[in-house]
Amino acid sequence: MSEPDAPLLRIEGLRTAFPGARPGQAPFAAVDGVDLALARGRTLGLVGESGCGKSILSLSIMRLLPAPGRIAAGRILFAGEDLAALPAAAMRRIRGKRIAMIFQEPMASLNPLRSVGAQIAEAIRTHDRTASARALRAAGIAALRRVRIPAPERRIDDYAHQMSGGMRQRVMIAMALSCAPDLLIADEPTTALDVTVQAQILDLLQALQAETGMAILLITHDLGVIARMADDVAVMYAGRIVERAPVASLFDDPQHPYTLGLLGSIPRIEAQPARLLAIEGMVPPPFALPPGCRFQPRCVFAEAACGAASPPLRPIAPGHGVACRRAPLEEAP
Amino acid sequence: MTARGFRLVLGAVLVGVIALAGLLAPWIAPHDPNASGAEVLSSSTAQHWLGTDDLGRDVFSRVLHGARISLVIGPAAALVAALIGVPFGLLAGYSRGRLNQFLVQVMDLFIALPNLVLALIITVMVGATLVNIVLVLGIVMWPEMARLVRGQVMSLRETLFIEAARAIGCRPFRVLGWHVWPNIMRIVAAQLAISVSAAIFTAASLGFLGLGLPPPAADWGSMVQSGFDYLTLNPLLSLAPGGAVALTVLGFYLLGRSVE
Repeated sequence: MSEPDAPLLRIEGLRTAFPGARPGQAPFAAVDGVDLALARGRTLGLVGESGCGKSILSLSIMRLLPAPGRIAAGRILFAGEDLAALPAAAMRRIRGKRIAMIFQEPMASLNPLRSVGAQIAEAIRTHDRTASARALRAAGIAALRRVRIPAPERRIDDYAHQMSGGMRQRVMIAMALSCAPDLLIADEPTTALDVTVQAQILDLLQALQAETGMAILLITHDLGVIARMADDVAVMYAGRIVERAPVASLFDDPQHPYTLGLLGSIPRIEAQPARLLAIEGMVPPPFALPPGCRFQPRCVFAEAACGAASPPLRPIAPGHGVACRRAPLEEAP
Repeated sequence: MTARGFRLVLGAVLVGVIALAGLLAPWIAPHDPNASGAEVLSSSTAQHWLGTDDLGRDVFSRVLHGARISLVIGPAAALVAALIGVPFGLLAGYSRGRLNQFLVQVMDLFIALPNLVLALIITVMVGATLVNIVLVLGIVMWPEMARLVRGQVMSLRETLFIEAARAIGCRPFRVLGWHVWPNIMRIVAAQLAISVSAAIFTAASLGFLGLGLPPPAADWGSMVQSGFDYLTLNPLLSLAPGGAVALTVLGFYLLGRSVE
């Protein structure tokens, strides 16, 4: 299973389904046939609107799906092991130890009644029962120092309410990295933070990645964050990957109309004042998908044929795949 | 003063006075609570502040000594209820699927039975001793504690820091004990005080129905009942222990509500 250049994480045909709301209703798939690969030391950005399934995808990898969701098909190969088929106890040993996760809301991710030091210690102790109290405290201080928290010897006894949002996200990162994971899943890690703090957290993540060589799966709807952090990008729409490319190609040569739409809705400082392009409508809910291409009802280029069959993700250049009938596009006029 | 502060102060004062009365009863009671005197069914006099009962025993001394019984039964029964109810509620709130359904149905079954009737039946079967009454009250009261804890756990279960705890690989029991429990401790403490008041009330009801501690114990409930026949001669015979029950129940209840 371990070819020399086998990626750390490879997702094949992942389908995560929820049963219908009423008995007899067909189950629907929040993630529907996703393939992804992520190598050690690399950052994969996963972009999409709210409700496109990107958070469910990350929770599928962690096997922390909200009930009654479950992985219905596909494989999640992590260092050669299929996480989708792993028993719960074995999965618990991977969670936190080899795959760690940080969340969107650092305000709510820390237990309000435990000191941050105790919570970092808990993360370490969960995977190392032998650690002594003194070693745990030293490890906690080291972890806080690593995420550039000033005076870690004092801050380790602080509680979450004594810290700012940026500080708390640093603590979350310290916790996540305390067991030296191979993969860090960052689910909108900066969305809830001020812009200046966002930049600090992103810099920190990059520096820590350079130190540890971990892979990062970065989930966001902020293309600015992607441009800054990611090596590769996957654009997700209604449970599927619609475009996948190295970050430079995606920004230089976006192919899928949805990607174009996302790029078009970013304000640019240098552009002529004009209306921002917004994509009309909303992501269809997974229980009411249109026939054929899932983007077709909102697509400005839609033709009759788009409603007939769902386009597969086709390679159009090395590393660049698009799920659209029209791709590859000719050079823009 | 805020309503909460008022509850806290009044509750603490009531409970404090009654606790002192119980603690100091052997020293401050003017008479031996079980010693019969020549004066039978006297009304309030300088010697017998609250009069005497049908056996010539001093009512005031008996009410003071009755506090000792209530203050043992109430907290002990509430503790038993918590020892059963809290773990049960934690499990019922955190589990899903079959286990959850089973636990909730067991809980609903007990909640559906009226407390007093259930307590009566069990007490008749096992006999009214102090330990039995404590256990019986604990057994009929645990579902309320379990239901409260279950509700709290169910809302905490969905919070991000619990998800984060699971994301670091925490085991379910660890999540419950280390992350969930400290966050519900305060509410459990409040419910504990309310359980104490409910236990004292139910114990008094049992006593009134003839299933209190056997004579000559100065059980408030039994005292209300035995004074019932002589209401016209000395109403204080029933009113004094009845008032003591009411104030004790009110005191613990206010304490419990002040924490919420």
